Amino acid sequence: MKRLIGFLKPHRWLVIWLAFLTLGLAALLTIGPIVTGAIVDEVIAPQRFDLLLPYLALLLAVAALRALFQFFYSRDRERLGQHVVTDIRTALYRKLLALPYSFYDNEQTGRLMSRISSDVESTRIFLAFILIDSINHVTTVVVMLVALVRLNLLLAVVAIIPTIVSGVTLYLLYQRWHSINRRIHEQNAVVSGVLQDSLAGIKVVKSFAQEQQEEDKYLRSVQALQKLHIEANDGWYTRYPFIGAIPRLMQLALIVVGGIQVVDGVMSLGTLVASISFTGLMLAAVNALGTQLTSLGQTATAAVRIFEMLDEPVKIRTPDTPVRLGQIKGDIRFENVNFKYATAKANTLKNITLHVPAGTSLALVGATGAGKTTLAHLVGRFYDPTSGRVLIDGHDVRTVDLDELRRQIGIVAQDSLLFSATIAENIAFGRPNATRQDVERAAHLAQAHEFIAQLPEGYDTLIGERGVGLSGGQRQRIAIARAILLDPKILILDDSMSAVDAETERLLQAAISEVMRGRTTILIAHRLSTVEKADHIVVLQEGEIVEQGTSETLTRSGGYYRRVLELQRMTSSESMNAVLSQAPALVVPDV
Amino acid sequence: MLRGMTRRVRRTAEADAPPPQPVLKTLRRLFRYLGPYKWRMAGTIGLYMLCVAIAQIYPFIDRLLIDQYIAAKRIDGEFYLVVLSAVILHVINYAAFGIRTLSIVRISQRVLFDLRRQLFHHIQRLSFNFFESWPVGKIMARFQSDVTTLNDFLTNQVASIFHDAVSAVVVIAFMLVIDAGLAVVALFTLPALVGAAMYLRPRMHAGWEAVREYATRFNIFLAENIAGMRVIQAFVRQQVNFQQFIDANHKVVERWMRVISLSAWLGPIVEMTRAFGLAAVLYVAAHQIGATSTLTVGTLVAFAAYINALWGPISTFTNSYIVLQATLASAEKVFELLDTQPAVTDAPDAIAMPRVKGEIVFDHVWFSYDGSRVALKDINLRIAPGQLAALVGQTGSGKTTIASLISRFYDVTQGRILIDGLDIRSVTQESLRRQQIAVVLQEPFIFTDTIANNIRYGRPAASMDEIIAAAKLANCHEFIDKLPEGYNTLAHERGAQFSVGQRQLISIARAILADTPILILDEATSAVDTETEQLIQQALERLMAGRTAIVIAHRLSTIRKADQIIVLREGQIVEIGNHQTLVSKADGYYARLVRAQVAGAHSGRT
Repeated sequence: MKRLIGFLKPHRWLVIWLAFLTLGLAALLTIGPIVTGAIVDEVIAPQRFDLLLPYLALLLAVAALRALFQFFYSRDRERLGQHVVTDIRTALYRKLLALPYSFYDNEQTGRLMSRISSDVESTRIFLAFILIDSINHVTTVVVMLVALVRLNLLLAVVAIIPTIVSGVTLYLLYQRWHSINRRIHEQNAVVSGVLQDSLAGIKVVKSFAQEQQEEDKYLRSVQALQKLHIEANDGWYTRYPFIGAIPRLMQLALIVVGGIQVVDGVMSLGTLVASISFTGLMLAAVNALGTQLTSLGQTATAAVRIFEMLDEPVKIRTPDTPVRLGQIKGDIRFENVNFKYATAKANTLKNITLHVPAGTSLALVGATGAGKTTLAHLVGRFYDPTSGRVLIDGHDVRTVDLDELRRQIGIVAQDSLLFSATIAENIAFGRPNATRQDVERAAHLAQAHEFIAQLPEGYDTLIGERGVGLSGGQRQRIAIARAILLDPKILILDDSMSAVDAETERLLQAAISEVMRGRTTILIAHRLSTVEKADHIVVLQEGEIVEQGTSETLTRSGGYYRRVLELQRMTSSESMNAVLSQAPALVVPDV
Repeated sequence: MLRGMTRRVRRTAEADAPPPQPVLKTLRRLFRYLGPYKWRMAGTIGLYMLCVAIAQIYPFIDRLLIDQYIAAKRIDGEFYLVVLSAVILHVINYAAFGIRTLSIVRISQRVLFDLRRQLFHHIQRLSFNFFESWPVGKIMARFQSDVTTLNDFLTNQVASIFHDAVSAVVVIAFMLVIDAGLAVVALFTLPALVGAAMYLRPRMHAGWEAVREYATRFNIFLAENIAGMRVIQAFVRQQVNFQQFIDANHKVVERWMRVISLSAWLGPIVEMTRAFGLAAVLYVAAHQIGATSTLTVGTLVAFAAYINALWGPISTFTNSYIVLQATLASAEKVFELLDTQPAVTDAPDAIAMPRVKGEIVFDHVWFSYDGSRVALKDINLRIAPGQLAALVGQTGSGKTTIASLISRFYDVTQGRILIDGLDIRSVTQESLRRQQIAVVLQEPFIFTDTIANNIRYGRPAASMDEIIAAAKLANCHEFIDKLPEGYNTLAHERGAQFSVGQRQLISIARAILADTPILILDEATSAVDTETEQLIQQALERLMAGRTAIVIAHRLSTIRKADQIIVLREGQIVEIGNHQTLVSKADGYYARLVRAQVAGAHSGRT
């Protein structure tokens, strides 16, 4: 909680200003009833109409001042909220940018998004509204009480007891309500998960004619949600009226007690009138305060999740005094490297020792899960080895400047993820200030220029969420262009041609062998036709190097490589329809 | 690809067809959802009005107590009687309040349930062309925000509009009864309040819409950045993206503050108009009390309370126009969805199809997706029971269309499709799809459920033994068995924890268990490692054994084995026959393609 309030620190002047405004608003609120009371006692009763106008002017002046305060209060409170949100979001985003791959291995985009959107939102509501409003309400209660005590002690006592009772009870009630609310929140997620699933999988649903099954599943989840909602509301509204009824009862008590005093001549009628107004305002404040305590629990869990993420250690970062790499040659060395993913049981890489001289190419071959991609990731220090070293030009990657290192490595990843931006911007992703000629040259090399030129707006075509959808092969080629444009010393191609058709692959291979000249290249592929020209081929099996050599020596030695080669020749995994299509084989209309 | 895009865009435009509904008609249709609960709703609104009426009696009673008793210095039994009756009224008020809230929540939850059930039921029965033009996110929004808006309107908003309107009327009536002249004085600033609110509200609404728009963009930016964080780091783009983040956030904040500087006026305006109203009442009252003495202090207190009681409802009332607008917008969207008719429906006299042997006949079939461009031209073919038929052709040549027509995901434009001699339009869709045909998609879909339930998807009643037997045949028993919870392992969203190959094996097991005479298979093109591919091939062969299989084939090895190869080009069958006969046609399309491929494979490829 203390840390949460820490977010307000940079804006303390704004907070002080708001506190001042709330105090002013509360103080001014008391003047209204006093003036009304005074008019009754000093103007109407003694028939002194000459005093009326000044009093009315005072009333209006107070109202005007309150209006002014209110304007600033409601505006600046929002401003504070937006400042705080921006600060927290920025801190979180900065953290996200810094966290290593291993963090993203175990996190889903949806969960992270909900932290940045809903958790930050409930923190904002707490800091800018609940907290500030609570200050406002507490101030109001205190000021009203003081005013009441000054007016009449007995009335103050009559007022204060129910005030405390209702405040405490409300708080207790809200505690219960909160736990149900969390369950509602969770069930809501379940309902939308079920919905999402059956919509995204509609093809399967319809193919197996299981609409009824889906409907039952959905309705079950909705019913559970409905039950929770009713339970929550029943729990609340069978109890709340007892507390909600207190203010009016108190007011009646005041009239009785005050009335007796007026009759006894101890108190004036005007004072009674003013007291009634005071207690009304005070009780409203107490009730509001009780209500706001609800979100306290919610905020606490949200804040815990935010801090959890902010505290996530950044294990991979540039050391304080990094070795200056300068332009690298591209010599890569693995020395007894072992690697284990945090959640895995066994090592993914076992005792890898490997040397890729600058300017040569290395092909990694092996079954899914053999560790090929992991090995490639270690070069750019996206993970740190569990033991052993990875050296670039003789420098341990843990001693160098991360940005400097990564800028010189071009990666084409398996899933060729692109961003919602124009094609040109996507290609220039790693070099945002590249010229159009550079972009086009890279696209040419990646065999992407032709289809890009055919798009309605060419390189300025928007892709992604709000733009045109591209086929898998087209995306891969843009991802290749994106890596080529970096002009990297080390190029990593991770199964980057799996979705392009055979014709394009042939062209692309020719282009890439052109690009590979003078660069160190790491190739990962399932089709052996892609890897057979590599200078050095390494076969990985369950994290170990089981064979290595050139295509020729490996074929001769008759191991795994030879076996796979024969299998591929036999089944000819070449795609017939891919040959038929100049465009990549996108067979199913994506639903 | 691009052709597909434009086709889709056009179709979307056509799907938006229903013209804008008149407001009253939409509202009437909306209120029909309250139909089953009309008496309960009427009772609830009755309680609302009771509460309003009682609440407005309070100042009246207070006036009575002050004027008749306290000012007159009469604290006697009668005084306490009045106080007691005030307490009783209050108890009734809060009891009514409790009951009406319990009741409105129940109505609200039932209406919400009805709306969701109807929508879900309807959407599940819509045809494929609907899902091609509506992205999942858009449909989700109908279920979530739109349905919630409608429900909120039908219950809370209707009740609160009633509440506000009734309390305004009651308050004004009481004021008029107590002192007509003073009432007019008190109300003189009201038009200013209403005017200001009417001016501000629509502008605020527009402002919030803009905020929402920018917030959506911000969220998309963020989601994409999180999903693409690996790429961002690999390309050392952190600084550029950080700047973009700051900009995107700034845009939201700036729009937000723009609305706030409008809405911040609302409170002060309420405050000022109320103060002027009160001041006017005091001014007039003081003079009248002095002059004629018909006015009392109690009246003054009551008026002050009434003015406060009136200002609240009036200022929220000015918002109801916007609530109505938002509701109508949501209602139109939901009704549009409900009015979309499934393109494929069961004939009224449709029969349940008995288990077939698996003969498939296309009899002069023509088909068009959009009514103008022809996707299939005069297709004639016969696939005998147990045969393997391979569909071969370029993207867009009609392979997928033919496969989809067999399951009757679309209806043919002309001609007919017969299975075992029965026109598929004469049988129910359910009996056709559930009992006769199993489909294995190129990109297998795994539901967020246990693996066992995923495998028994087509036959929910299947026993565990049957599931394991199917999994064994599909070569996936081994890896499932190794999972910590075996068949009860819960798949993540879309089976994310499994590799593509594993997902394919699970979906093959699903088809094996469904045990249908006909099988439609879309061979995967994406590369899995050679060993997994062997497993998949083996599983598929077991699956196809003894069934009529239509394969959208990509692998030459599959095509070679087919009893019939159907070569398609631009929606027409150009050649048909087995590999041997087609290859021997020296200048045939298929023969040329095979030659091209073999040549390609020899020039330095495997």
